[in-house]
Amino acid sequence: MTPRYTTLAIALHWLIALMIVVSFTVGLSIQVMPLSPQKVRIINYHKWAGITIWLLVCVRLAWRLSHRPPAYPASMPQPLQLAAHLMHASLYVLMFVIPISGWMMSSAKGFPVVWLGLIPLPDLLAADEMLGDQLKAVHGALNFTLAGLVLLHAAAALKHHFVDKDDIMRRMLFRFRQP
Amino acid sequence: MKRFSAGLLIAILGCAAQAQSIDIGQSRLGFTYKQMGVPMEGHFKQFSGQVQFDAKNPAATAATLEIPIAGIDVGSRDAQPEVAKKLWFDSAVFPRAQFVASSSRALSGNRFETVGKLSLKGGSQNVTLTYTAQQIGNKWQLDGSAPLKRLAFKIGDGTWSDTDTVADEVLVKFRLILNP
Repeated sequence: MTPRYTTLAIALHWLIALMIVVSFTVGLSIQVMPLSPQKVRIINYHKWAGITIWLLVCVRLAWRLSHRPPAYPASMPQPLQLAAHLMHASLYVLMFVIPISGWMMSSAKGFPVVWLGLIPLPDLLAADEMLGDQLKAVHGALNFTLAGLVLLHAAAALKHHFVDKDDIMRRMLFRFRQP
Repeated sequence: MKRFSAGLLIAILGCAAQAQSIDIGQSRLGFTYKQMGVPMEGHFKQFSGQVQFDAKNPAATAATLEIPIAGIDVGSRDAQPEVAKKLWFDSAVFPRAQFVASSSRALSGNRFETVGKLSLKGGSQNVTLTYTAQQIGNKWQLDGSAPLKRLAFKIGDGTWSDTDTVADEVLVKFRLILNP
């Protein structure tokens, strides 16, 4: 019987992953759109998604701090286990910080963030155009770092599954059939 | 005809010799609007005009204000280039907005109401100003607001007329300090 993550952890993992991929793509396209009502709408949806992702990541972090994930197989070398821990820790940090950086950027550019168009969130900074530009660069750089790590993370999971043929990736999949 | 109108205008302004001048340096004229639920603030960097106000005789309140469109700051560097464009204020064709008060009355408490005509982007609409008045030293300070609908003036026309993106309601806010 494969030890696996709980259903909640698995659901959060894939939901957050999907939302991050979509938001990243939308974030890239925003940069090349000329100003239009569509662009205004998309920017706002992107912010709504970002705040939602951040809230889901908070739940995920709470889960992680209160649960022990399944142990790595004994066959997995210690250095690789350490690398995996570092990778996951980095992903958690980035997933937590990136939406905050976007929120800070919005405040600095003079746009309060109103989650879902309904719930006003506090401004994290006073309006300051130059700082807004700097935070935009930070938000972008953090996102590209996350993208790189995500690709490595996915590649590692696939390696475990298809090359090492161990249960590491299976642990993060919903149980469709008994192993 | 022109000379007659000019003469009439001078006569009217002469009658309004009682009108106080606006202490522009201390006064403020701004507006708030919403885009997708997000409150935005803008202001007018310049405006001029004359106001005659006496709390003891509100019905005699008179006001004319002239606002150059080029002085509008919409509160966002990214949105600012839109202001002059045809779908927005079309400022090359309509470089000024003007407000002329037509009637005023006192409301309960220290509140007053002035109705007047706002001319903007070639259109004219009545707007209602609600404000409080207090004396600071020997100057009147009028603080108030006037709600208006941007689409009535075709501000944000065509594709921008979608009020789900930029709301129709705009609240003009003002503080006018009147020199004695």
